Amino acid sequence: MIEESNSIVMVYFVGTFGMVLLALSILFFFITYQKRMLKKQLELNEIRARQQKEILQNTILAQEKERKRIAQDLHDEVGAMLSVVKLNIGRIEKKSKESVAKELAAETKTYLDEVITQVRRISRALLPPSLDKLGLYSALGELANWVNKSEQLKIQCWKSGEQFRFDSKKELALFRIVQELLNNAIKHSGAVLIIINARFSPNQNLMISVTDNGKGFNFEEKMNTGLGLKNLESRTQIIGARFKMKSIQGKGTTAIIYLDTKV
Amino acid sequence: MLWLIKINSLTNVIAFFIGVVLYKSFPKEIKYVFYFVVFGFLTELYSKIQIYYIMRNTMPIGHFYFPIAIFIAVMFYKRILTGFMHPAWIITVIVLYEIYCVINPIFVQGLFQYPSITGSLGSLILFLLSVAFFIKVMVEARIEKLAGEPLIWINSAFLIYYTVGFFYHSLYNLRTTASMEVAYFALYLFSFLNLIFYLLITVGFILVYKVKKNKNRVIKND
Repeated sequence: MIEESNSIVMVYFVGTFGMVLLALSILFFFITYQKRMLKKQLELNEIRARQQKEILQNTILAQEKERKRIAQDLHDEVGAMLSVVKLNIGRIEKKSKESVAKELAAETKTYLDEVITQVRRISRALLPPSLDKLGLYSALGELANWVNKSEQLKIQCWKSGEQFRFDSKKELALFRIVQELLNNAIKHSGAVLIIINARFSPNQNLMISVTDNGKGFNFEEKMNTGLGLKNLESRTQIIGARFKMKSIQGKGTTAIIYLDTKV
Repeated sequence: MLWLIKINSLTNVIAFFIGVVLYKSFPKEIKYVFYFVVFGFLTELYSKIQIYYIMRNTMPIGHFYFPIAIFIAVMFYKRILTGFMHPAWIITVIVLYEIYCVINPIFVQGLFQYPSITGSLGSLILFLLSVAFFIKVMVEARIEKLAGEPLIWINSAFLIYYTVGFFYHSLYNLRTTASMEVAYFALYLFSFLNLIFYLLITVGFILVYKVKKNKNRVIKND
């Protein structure tokens, strides 16, 4: 009887132990397999993100190259030809004896002046010459001046610290980011005042903030529907900058870009 | 070791009360697990009352406990295995099982005999369903942090409990022919298993609440 009891205890003990082992093995297999799967997925996501970054980088490079070419063509060829046309019309105006022709020439010259100004504006917007010659802050100031001429809204440009120069590609990228932020604010925010603040630190750190007093927006909604926010984020990532954006509905939007120019 | 048997009912009570407190945050599938716990709690309560006031033999309770408890647990699995296993399969299995649960006390094992067949069959069904759920999770590979997912804890509880339960229920009638020592030994093992089961279920309940709370917080920040 005792022997029988012992053997039953043994069966129970070994059986239970075996079953626990089976359950734990299934759990262990599940956890290990799951971890391995997630690791692979993570690697795949990283590769995908890298590829997307490269594609975006190449697209931006191509875009910049094309902008530069168009800006140069506009300035050197179209601009020059328009100046010649303006000179000729001036000569026609002077030599013409009929008052009707004189008036027409004067009117055409006025239109032509407008066209030349517009061409210059487009050319500068595509590639501001001051960016290359005088640096980011000057280019931003020039951009603000152009917008202020329209008198629809006011852009104030502030600077603290001594402006320093850094990698021209990064300067151009930062200029484009601010340009995009201004475009968004002008098109969608209904703001009457935009403030650009550039802080140049002695340790070669740069912070630029763009604040508007517009209607603000729902961040998540706009992130999904466009407004180029994802594009802005990607552009800042490419140059190794940090990008923060805060919007309160009815109170406006602030975007901040930090860049360590030494890196 | 008697403490293990004594706290056995307590673990069930803890899971029950935590479930009551957090019930509002439970999605439908977790509500099934809660009903399972409630049913276990009520059965335990009734068996205690029966032992004191009616009769010591609690075997008839088992004949009613298994069909209902396994049914609730299978309903839980039917819900979480949506999209992986056709519901018709699960319904067919549970209907066949319930039919057998009716046949068993009438023709196979009497009301006053332990329903080892229904117990082990039920355990087998739940063991297979818990494995199916893990396979579903592996195939989908959506859960990034396993420890933070309540369903993983609850399914682990079912897997461990019913894997051992299958063996325990199959050999249950064997122990009645042996000495009291064997009966106690089996009881200790089962009490320990019960403790683990309800602890894991309680962790699952708490995690459901935490996950829901975190989700709400994220929405507020946006």
